[in-house]
Amino acid sequence: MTGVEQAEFDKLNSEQKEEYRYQQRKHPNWDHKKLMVKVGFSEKVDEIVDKNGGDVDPNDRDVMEELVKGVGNWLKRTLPRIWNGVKELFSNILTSIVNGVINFFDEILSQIF
Amino acid sequence: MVEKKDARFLVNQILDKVLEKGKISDDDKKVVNQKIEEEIIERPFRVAVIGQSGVGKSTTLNSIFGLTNYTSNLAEGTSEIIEKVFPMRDGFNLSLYDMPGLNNDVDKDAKYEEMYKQILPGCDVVVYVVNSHSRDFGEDCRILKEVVLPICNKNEIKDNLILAFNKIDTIGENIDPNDPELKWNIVENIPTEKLKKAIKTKLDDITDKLLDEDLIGSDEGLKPHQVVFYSAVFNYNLKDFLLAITKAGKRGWIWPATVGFERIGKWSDAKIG
Amino acid sequence: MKEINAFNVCFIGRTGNGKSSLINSLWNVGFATDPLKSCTKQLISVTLMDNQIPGYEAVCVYDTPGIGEFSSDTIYERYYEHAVSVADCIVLVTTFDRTDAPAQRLLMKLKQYINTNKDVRFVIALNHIDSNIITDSQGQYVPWDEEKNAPSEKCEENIQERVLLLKEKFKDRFLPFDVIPVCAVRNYGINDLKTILYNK
Repeated sequence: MTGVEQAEFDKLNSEQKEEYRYQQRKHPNWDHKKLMVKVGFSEKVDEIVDKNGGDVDPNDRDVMEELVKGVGNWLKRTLPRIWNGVKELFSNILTSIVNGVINFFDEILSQIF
Repeated sequence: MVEKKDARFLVNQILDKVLEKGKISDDDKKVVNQKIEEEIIERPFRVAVIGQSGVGKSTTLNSIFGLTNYTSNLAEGTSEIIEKVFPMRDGFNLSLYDMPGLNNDVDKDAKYEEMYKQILPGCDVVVYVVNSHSRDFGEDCRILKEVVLPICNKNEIKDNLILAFNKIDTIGENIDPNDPELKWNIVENIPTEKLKKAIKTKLDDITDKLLDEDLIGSDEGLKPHQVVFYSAVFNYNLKDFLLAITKAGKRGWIWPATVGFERIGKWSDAKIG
Repeated sequence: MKEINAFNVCFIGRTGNGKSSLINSLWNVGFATDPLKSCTKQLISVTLMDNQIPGYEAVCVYDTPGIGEFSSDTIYERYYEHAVSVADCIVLVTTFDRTDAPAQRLLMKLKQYINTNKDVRFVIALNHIDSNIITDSQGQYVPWDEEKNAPSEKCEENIQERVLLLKEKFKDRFLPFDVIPVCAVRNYGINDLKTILYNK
């Protein structure tokens, strides 16, 4: 492994490291990138079968984060001057969402300001 | 006071608040509003759904985009490329290309390939639907590598692609159609314990293949978030799908920013089209 | 070397279509069948003493790996070519599933390897006719009449529709053919299939 790859590997928790090594033995021709992807998918697959279906939560943190990023990137591409004036606010919103501090979208904005 | 909030899209709410708090001039606010109008109203949100026959393209459209559409299993459900424009709300339109099933007939496939070259580059999201319990996944890999990915790479829309593995609920039926413990638990809408194991095995197998074929985990391939596993019929794990749409290309975010949350997983109520 | 005069039958089809089950039904060979993983990865041909075919003392059965299993069939291409080149009869095993293009492609590729010095037969076996995966989860479709051990009326309609479709899709692409509906696990249509296979 390269230095960068080693650093990535070290960041894994012990379960993930074990999974990494298991997959490495199973697929000796896979490079580090593939192994990392596989470790991610193994976790994802467990998550999929163990959680319930049902309506998608409109306050879902992951979707909200990507949505806000999308809007921000759009503004940055389309109106860069205006974007410069508000980019810090976007950054704050994203941090709050990412930290899972607040669930309801209105609350996010009202709590920051 | 009229509750204006409900009539406006999320994106408008976000921008309104941010511009207000950011102390942006009224003139500039006008410009932003005009530009967002151009982006989401004047240009419809375009989605193409492709894949082999019988993978559940129509039911996927039902579940993810809240549309009623023709669903068929034996006869050909769609035999020509149909672009349908669905007015959603407040001037926002969804434009859909529900493509005919691939791999039905070699002559038809050649025709469709030509159509893909024309249509896919203009799409905001391209969904390639796969049947999770299909055992000729090799064909999907071939189509992806020989047809779909080359078109996407050539037109720089690889980020717009979603590889959607449907029908995770019927993985058990392929093992033993008569085993009740391998059937989907409809009451709680989750897999049974035995089915969970079967699903894990199958999805493990699928991801192994994707990696072996360089469809993920390589520079030419897709990113992990672009691969989703779900059941359209039972509206299961649609969140990952919505997330993949949101992250798709430059415009995927428009879907949840407008009506995405209202539509997803509610196809039995939506009566559009 | 003392050769045996064998009637060569080659089975082709997508994984999961029941080639191996069908072969077992016809000759009781005991090939492995597994719904989850593909089994026929080894290149299997089995020779059985069988004097039901006039002029032959044995049947040699070629079971092939499923079409569509591998994105590029390079390793197995040569085996298909060989199996087709020695075949007296080629059986394409298909189902109600209408993704026929892989089979069309394969057969069109293999056409050149048919032995033109023999009268090679081609049969399409429509298997899994008792399947009810073809309707949606709320379907009240009952495919099988258990009493008669035969397809229900509605299933017969589906069969006819599928037969017409197959005749259209494979016409002039390989060889002239008949379509025989079968259900390997229920032993339905097996004798009809045998008659066609053995009939000279």
